Formats: sequence, C-alpha cells, structure tokens
Amino acid sequence: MSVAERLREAREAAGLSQGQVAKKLEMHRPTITEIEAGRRKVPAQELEQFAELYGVSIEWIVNGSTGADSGDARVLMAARQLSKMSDVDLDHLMKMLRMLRKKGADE
Amino acid sequence: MNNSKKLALDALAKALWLRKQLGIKLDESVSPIDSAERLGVEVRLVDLPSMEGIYTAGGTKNIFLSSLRPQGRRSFTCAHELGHHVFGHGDQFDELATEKTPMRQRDPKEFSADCFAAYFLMPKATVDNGLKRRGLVYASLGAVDVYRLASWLGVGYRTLINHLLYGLRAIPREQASHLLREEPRMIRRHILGQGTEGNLHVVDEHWLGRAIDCEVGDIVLFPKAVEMEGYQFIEQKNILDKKVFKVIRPGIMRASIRTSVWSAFIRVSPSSYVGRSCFRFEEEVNE
Repeated sequence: MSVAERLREAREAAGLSQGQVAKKLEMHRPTITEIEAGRRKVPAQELEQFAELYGVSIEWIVNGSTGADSGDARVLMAARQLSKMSDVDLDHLMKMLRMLRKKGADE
Repeated sequence: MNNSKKLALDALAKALWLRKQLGIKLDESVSPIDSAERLGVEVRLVDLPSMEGIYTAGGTKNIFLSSLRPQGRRSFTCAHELGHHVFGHGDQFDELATEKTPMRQRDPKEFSADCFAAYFLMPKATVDNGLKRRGLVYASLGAVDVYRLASWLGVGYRTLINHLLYGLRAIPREQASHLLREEPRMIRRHILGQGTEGNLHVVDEHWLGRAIDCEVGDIVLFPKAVEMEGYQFIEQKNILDKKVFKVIRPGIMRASIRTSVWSAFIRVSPSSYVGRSCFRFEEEVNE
C-alpha cells in the first residue's frame, strides 16, 4: 500500500470527506484528490497536518508500520482469549491499532 | 459487606468523583463520549458487528465503540469503557452483551465497569432531580415517563428500568416488571400516534446538562413554543403541545423557547457514523 492509499484510508477511518479535510486544512478539494491518487507529492509539513487531523502516526503513513507491533500482538492475543469477536473484526481492529498515533512516538 | 456490594460502592464513589472532576452538576445528564475526550481518551466509532466496545490502555488510550448499536446502548458501553479507564484496568474487550458468558458476568472488572457506567450516567441525585423537575414520582412512573427520562439521560429504556430496580432500588420489582413488558417501539407509537423505525428523542424544558445528540433520520419531539437556529431539522407536525421534527443533516444548532430561559444545543451526526468521535457532528461540505 502506498502513502497515498494510506492517507485515503486514514481519512476515511477518521470519518471525514475530502471536502471536510480541504476546509479544515485550508486546501483546495482537488488537491486532496490529487494527493490521494498519488499524483501530487506531500511535503513533510503537510504529512504532519494530515497525521494530526486523522489521529494517526506519521510513521504509519510513511512506512505502513509504527514499530509497536509487539504491543499490538499483546492486544491481539488478549482479544482472542477474552472475546468472541470474529476474526474479520479482530483483523480490522488490529489494522486500526497499527495506524493510530502512539503516545510520544510522533512528538 | 460482600464483595459485590463493595465493588458497587467503589464504582459509585469513582463515578461521582469523575462527575465532580469534570464539573458536571448532579442535576445534569452527561455525554460519556465528551467525558472521555476531555480525559484525553481517543474515541472512535467503528463498524465491527461482533463487538460492543473496546478499551486499549497501551500508549494512547483508546475507546472503540460499535456504530451499529443503538444510541443508548453505545452511550452505556462508552461509560463502561470509561470505567475501565478510570479504574486503571488494562485492555478490555466487550463483545455483544447477549453473548456474554457466565464467567465474564462474574468478572469483577466487568462488574465494576458496569456499576461505574450506571452511576456515572444515572446517579440517584440526577434521577431524583429529573423526576422532581417534571412533577413525577417513582411510585406512579409510567412507560412514557421512563422513556422521557431515558431520552434525557441518553440511556436505553430497559437500562433505566433495571437501574431504578437494582441500582437505585427506587421502584419495586412488580412495577419494573410491568414497565419492562412495554416495548419501546410501542411507546414511540403511542407518543407519536404512528410508528417509527428510527430513534425518537423526547425533549422538554427540563432538559439540563448534555447537548441533545441525535442522528440523521431520527425524530425529535420539542415543546410547541420551540425556536430553532439552524438547518438540521425539518418540521413535520404538531401533536398537542409538542412539535415533531425530523433530523435531516449533520451539524450543530441551538433550540430555545422565547417565553423561557431554557435553551439547548442539538448535535447531529450522520446515521451510524464511523470515524473519530470529535468529527461526528461535522457539517457536510459541498464537494
């Protein structure tokens, strides 16, 4: 998955439309479209703005990982033991936990 | 004192302590999502059918709530997860309540979080005050009265009855059984004079505390003299001394009554909203 695709995924998980993001970040809506289509590069400063707005880790946007997978594995193991959540839902949850900003990680 | 009673009293003390910390008066209803956000807990609504709520304690604190559950239940689940946070429990996973195993029901952490949620959303003083302002008394509470109170407290109809019976011991078992036999769907039909599949919020001039939170497609009943500032609602009809509105778009607006000092904010989210809770009332932007 590319940076552009992760930006789109993070926006959707945050519950925002392209128009709402454009308004909040004072950008033009087509700019967001171009970024999410991978046709426009994203400067570091904008990456920070997107990460802050979407509540996700910059590291995840850039690399697709956060270096906190051992913590995720612990959560996954506990979830499997303690709940009757379906495998599909657990996978979705883990994907989201990997995406989210970790305390101190981006500070 | 048995262990359950001790856990319940601890939960009550924690719930009242948190309300005080957050500056929530005892005559006010409360939004547990707003409370979690104020404590720095990230709340996200997700469409995961097999779960009720999750609290993750590592790194950033998160609460995940299923957007697929009814609003009252979602609110109670959020308060329950907030209980795990306040008690310092570790990661917690709460699947569908109907699938809870006896072992989980006896889990002291789950019991504490349930008691915390009930006392945080419905402390005795808050419920007492809500009844008094509306000229109601416990002994003659009818189904419509309970529905109105549950609307204001932001909890489910049955949740409130069970709390009145077991948590507050404010009504006898016989009265609770009678009230529990009434279906919320039929109560809505009785209030509106017609059936509705969506949520019905009954708002009166005694609504103190949290904003009136609803979703697109919901029906809201206001006093007839209400004045709306915003474009999130369309007026449908009058029923006796009430006005019926249908919620049509997300955003925040204000309702007031010219002849009274009462006013309240109304916050509308999309139906079954998925995303960060802090964006749930964002207005749509023309694309």
